Amino acid sequence: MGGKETLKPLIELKDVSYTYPDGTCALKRVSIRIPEKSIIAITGANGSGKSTLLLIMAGLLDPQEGCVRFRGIDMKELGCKVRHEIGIVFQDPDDQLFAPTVYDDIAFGLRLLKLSEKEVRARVYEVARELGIESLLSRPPHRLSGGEKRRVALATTLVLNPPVLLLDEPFSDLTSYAAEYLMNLIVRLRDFGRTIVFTSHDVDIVAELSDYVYILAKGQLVAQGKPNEVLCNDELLSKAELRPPTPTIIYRELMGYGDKCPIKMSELLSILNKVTALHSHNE
Amino acid sequence: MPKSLLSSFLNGIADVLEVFSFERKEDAKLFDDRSISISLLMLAIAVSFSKTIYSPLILLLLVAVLTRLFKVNVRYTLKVAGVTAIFVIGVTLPMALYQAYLSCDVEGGLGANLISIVSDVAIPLILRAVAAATVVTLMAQCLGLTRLMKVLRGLRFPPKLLFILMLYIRYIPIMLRQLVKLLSAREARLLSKSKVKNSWFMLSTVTGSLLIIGFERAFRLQMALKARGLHYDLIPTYSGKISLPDLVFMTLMLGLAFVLVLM
Ligand SMILES: Nc1ncnc2c1ncn2[C@@H]1O[C@H](COP(=O)(O)OP(=O)(O)OP(=O)(O)O)[C@@H](O)[C@H]1O
Ligand SMILES: [Mg+2]
Repeated sequence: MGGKETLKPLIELKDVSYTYPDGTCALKRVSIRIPEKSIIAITGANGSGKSTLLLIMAGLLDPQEGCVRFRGIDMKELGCKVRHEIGIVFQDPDDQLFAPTVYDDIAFGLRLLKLSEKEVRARVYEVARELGIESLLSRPPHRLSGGEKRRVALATTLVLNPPVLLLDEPFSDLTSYAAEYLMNLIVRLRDFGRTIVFTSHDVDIVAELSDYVYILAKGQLVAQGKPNEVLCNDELLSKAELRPPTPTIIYRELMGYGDKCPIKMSELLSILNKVTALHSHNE
Repeated sequence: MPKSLLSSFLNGIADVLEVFSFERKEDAKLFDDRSISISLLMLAIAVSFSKTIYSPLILLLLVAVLTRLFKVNVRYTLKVAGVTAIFVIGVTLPMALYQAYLSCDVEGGLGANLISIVSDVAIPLILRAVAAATVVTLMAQCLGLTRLMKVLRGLRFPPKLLFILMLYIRYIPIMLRQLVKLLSAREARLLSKSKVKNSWFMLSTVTGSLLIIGFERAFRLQMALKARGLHYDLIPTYSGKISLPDLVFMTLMLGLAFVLVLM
């Protein structure tokens, strides 16, 4: 990590272990540092503890061991004050949505603040427009499709505009077009100074989007680093039951093994363009 | 997908209960939130203690007027009134029959007894329940859940109690919908057609799963509410000023409540 070590992290988990009441050990001595204004990905196989980790980061689950700090202060001391700082979108939108209409659901958090209904309305519509769900506002959330629900769930958190956003599998259920839109939105939020932590088992998306990656396997941290360092390391990936990103696989198939593999589609394309240019030049 | 009778019934109840978690979308209001909620609560209590059938009838009339005045949706009020009526009839009718049967050989025939019991006891009871339910619905619709919570918090209700109340109001419809989901999953797997007889059988088989899922859902709902800033320490307190029109409104309503009890 080098330089980042000296920077004060926004959220810090130290040797965190969590066991569910039924005895399932979901996390074992995990330490994580989330720097400000960055996009952090948490990836790993099904059941590796990603969702549990996010709930702990949000302060919604208390770990049995270890400590969680937000801006250097213990999460337990902060209590409910941290709620306005950290927004979380659950993996299952059905857990997130509880109001009779989509509008009410998005407005719920705002109404608890001291805002007039006019301001509430303006902000709800702004977020709905951003996420393309304006036409759903009067519908009951439990009658929406999977992808629609996911967008509404995202809206309920985005509308509060928290400095930290924790997104649990935000890309599942979305079409590739919607996923690309969301990726752009996340990058824009980061550029506005927000910190985003997301989980995903789609290595391609992790490679495209993240500034820093943590890989979990069976509740333990097996790797961390910049995506271009971690995601072409087959040994690490196989430990976590993941495969390399598609561009890396294609590159290796075409070029054989190199030490510097592209992980993003754009990187692969620029390499391929250079190669074809060279070929045509030679001919 | 053809819906079973049971599923539609459960969904219907969920819809009705959800009326209480509605939120008001406008700031505009005729009277102060506090005076509306106190007056209407008092009216609901008063009508529950009234003796004749005139008080509930007067109250229903008043609710109709206030519904116009406050511009709330009549549909939901009617829905709640209907469900309450069905519920109360379901409870009182067998009781009335039983009473009529008991007093049968003392005086008059079964039919005559039944008529007198229904008109003297059952109908006033049903009317009172419906009137009280519509007043409470009117209040819920007038303010919306969050504003109502703020008012109650302002009236020194214990915040923990309010939090639990809010949790329940949101939770019951979710739970009923979960039940419908469980039922339809079972229906799809076990039986091609659903009949009333099968409905009861299925209801008995899902009870176990419902309890487990219900517990988990309650836990997750609590997390969802917390995640979006609802903590019992954070329920804001209502702080509006009571003006002269509010006072007049409140005095009128409380006076009426007094009359309703005496009637
Ligand atoms: N409420 C719970 N009670 C008991 N065990 C649980 C509970 N939730 C999760 N677990 C268990 O904890 C472990 C980690 O679960 P978690 O949901 O964090 O995984 P995940 O990495 O998010 O998986 P996925 O990619 O499938 O979402 C799993 O073994 C799971 O079975
Ligand atoms: Mg998960």
